[in-house]
Amino acid sequence: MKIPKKILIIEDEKTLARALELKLTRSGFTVKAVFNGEDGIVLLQHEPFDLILLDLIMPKMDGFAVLTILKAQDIKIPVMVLTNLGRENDVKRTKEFNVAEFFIKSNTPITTIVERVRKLLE
Amino acid sequence: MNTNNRIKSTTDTISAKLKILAREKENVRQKLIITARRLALTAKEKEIVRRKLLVTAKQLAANAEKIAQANTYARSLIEVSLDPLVTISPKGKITDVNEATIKVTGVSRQKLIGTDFSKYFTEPKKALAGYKKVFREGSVTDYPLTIRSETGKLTNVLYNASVYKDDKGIVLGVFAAARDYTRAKKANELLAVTAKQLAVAAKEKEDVRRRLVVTAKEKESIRRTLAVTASKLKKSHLTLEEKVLGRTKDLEQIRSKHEAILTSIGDGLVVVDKEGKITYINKTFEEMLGWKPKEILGKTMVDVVPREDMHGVGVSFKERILTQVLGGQKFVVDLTNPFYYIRKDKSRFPASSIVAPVVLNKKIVGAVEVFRDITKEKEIDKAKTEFVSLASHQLRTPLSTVNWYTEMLLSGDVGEVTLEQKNYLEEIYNGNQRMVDLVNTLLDVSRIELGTFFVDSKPTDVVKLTQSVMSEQQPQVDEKNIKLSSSFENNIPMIHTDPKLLRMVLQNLLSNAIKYTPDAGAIALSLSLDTKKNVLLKITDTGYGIPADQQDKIFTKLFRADNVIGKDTEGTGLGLYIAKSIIEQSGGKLWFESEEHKGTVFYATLPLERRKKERAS
Repeated sequence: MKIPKKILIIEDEKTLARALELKLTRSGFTVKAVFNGEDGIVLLQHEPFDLILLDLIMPKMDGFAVLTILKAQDIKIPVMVLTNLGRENDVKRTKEFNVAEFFIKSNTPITTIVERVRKLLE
Repeated sequence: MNTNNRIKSTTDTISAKLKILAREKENVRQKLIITARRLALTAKEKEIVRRKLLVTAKQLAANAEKIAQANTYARSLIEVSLDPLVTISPKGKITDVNEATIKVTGVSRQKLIGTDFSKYFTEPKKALAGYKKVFREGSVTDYPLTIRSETGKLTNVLYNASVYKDDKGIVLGVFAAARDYTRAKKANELLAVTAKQLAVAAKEKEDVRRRLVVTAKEKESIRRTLAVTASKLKKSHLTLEEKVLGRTKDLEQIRSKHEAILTSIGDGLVVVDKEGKITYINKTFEEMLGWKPKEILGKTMVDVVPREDMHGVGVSFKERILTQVLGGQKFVVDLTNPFYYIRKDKSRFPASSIVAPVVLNKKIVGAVEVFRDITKEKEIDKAKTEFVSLASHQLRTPLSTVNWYTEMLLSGDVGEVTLEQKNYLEEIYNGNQRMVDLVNTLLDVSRIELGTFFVDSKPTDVVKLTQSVMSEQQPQVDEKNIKLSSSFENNIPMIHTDPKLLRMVLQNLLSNAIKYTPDAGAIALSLSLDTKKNVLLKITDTGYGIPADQQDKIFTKLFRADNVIGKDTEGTGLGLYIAKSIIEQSGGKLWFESEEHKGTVFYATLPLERRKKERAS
């Protein structure tokens, strides 16, 4: 049996984290969700993941800080940024981190996200 | 006649004749006696004369001796004289000379005597004339001549000459004595010149004097007239002075009142002449721009205070509203296009201004510009925009929640949904989708206003982009049974622009055309190249059109024309505002022609060449 791919969701909006968790689990992935960047980094030290879904604006440690640490620790897990910010500066900053995908949550159907995840993990 | 008678008469005649003869004989005899007596007398007289002659002869002998003595004396006197002396014969030949003459001519006595006297002078004719004058008048005095010696030496002399005669009064010759006056002549010449000059001067003086007399007369008459006028003037002057004082006071009051008003205006105020040169600035101008009047009066406003647009690009002289107003435009309000004025210290502030021409006798003689620092307004506006931006972002999270959960319900993730339930869920989903669009639009507007639109320009194929937008909206076109046609000029090159933003413009314009064209209408879309190196986009519809009285407001944020508000309730009034902003930011222009009930044509130009200065973020 094929080992399901593991996805880490770092998202402070619990209802959205839950929606993603439900949909992706249903789509056959193993999913873990944390609600701030700090928890995400801690988890990444202990468990291997195949993909990170990352929000940008979060308490304690925001998405940019997470990306900075990932880069500093040379953790090469692909990152999909899911945000509602979409401001030019934010888009530009994340691009510097070479993220795999950038979605505005309100503009993106959840099925599109699942399809994209599937493609990235194939 | 008888013979007797004849004899008798003859005898009578003869006897008469005899008588006459006797008488004559007596007369002669008497005369002879007288003559005899006279002869006796003459003899006596003869004796007396003879005696007298004897006496005279003796006297003559004595005289001759006296004369000889006198001659010797005269001669020695003549020779001793220092003045050249000469005697000349009636024929003009020199008969005698003295030593002085020999000396002055340098010619010997022998050679001088017998020669023509006139040849020893520089002006022989004049000498001759003088000589003749002596003969005519008996003498001349101070007759000026110049003797030329053999060596060429010139001696100026004055001649005194007179004739000398024998005892019978016959002219024997001329005696001439000369006086050397070379020096005297020079002095005389000088005197003569001076005299002439004096004469001329005197004449001039006289002329001047006469003129002065005339002038004086005129002056006098003028003076009298003036005196009369002056007294009249004095009277009216006094009256006038009173009036002027009164008026000046009034004017001064008005002026200081105006000055106070101008100074108190919280806005910067500048008055320029018809060449755009500053003639007045108020206190606020000084404070706002840092210039003192003395530094800038007379200089060109457009040069002194440069203007920049939002992107820091200098506004050209031609585009300056001040220039346009001086060029004849009536009144220009520049409130909608924000710009910056550059201060003396090169710092800048956002400003808005109103420019009006100063018209005198139907001619533009200058312009007045009133401008204000809109930093505060901008700050408030920015705060508002930032609030909208923040709120919109916050709205996105619940919108995402509604979207995603509705989606999951619809896809049966939590169990089968009935058809009716599905319809309801779709309404929720579509409504939410509209809200998402609205939020996105609001965010676009706030980006435009905050200047944070991220322009990611790259070579873009406009034809492809347009076709893609058309196919994207094909469902709406089909739904209304609209005939959509397109034409693209060949060889439209790639242009340097942000494809996402251009797509937004195309979507806006095309969706507007579809929305505001009734069923079974027609829409034509074309792309071509214009003469000014632009791609020209043209979208023609047969729609409702824009009412003429609302055409000037159509690009205003949130404005929607009366005739379509009821027809389409989903419009936000933001689409054209955004489209115009994007096109203008990329250096193009957006405009339209429209007639109500007939349709509208929208035009947009997209420059082929890259904009010089692009806003990076």
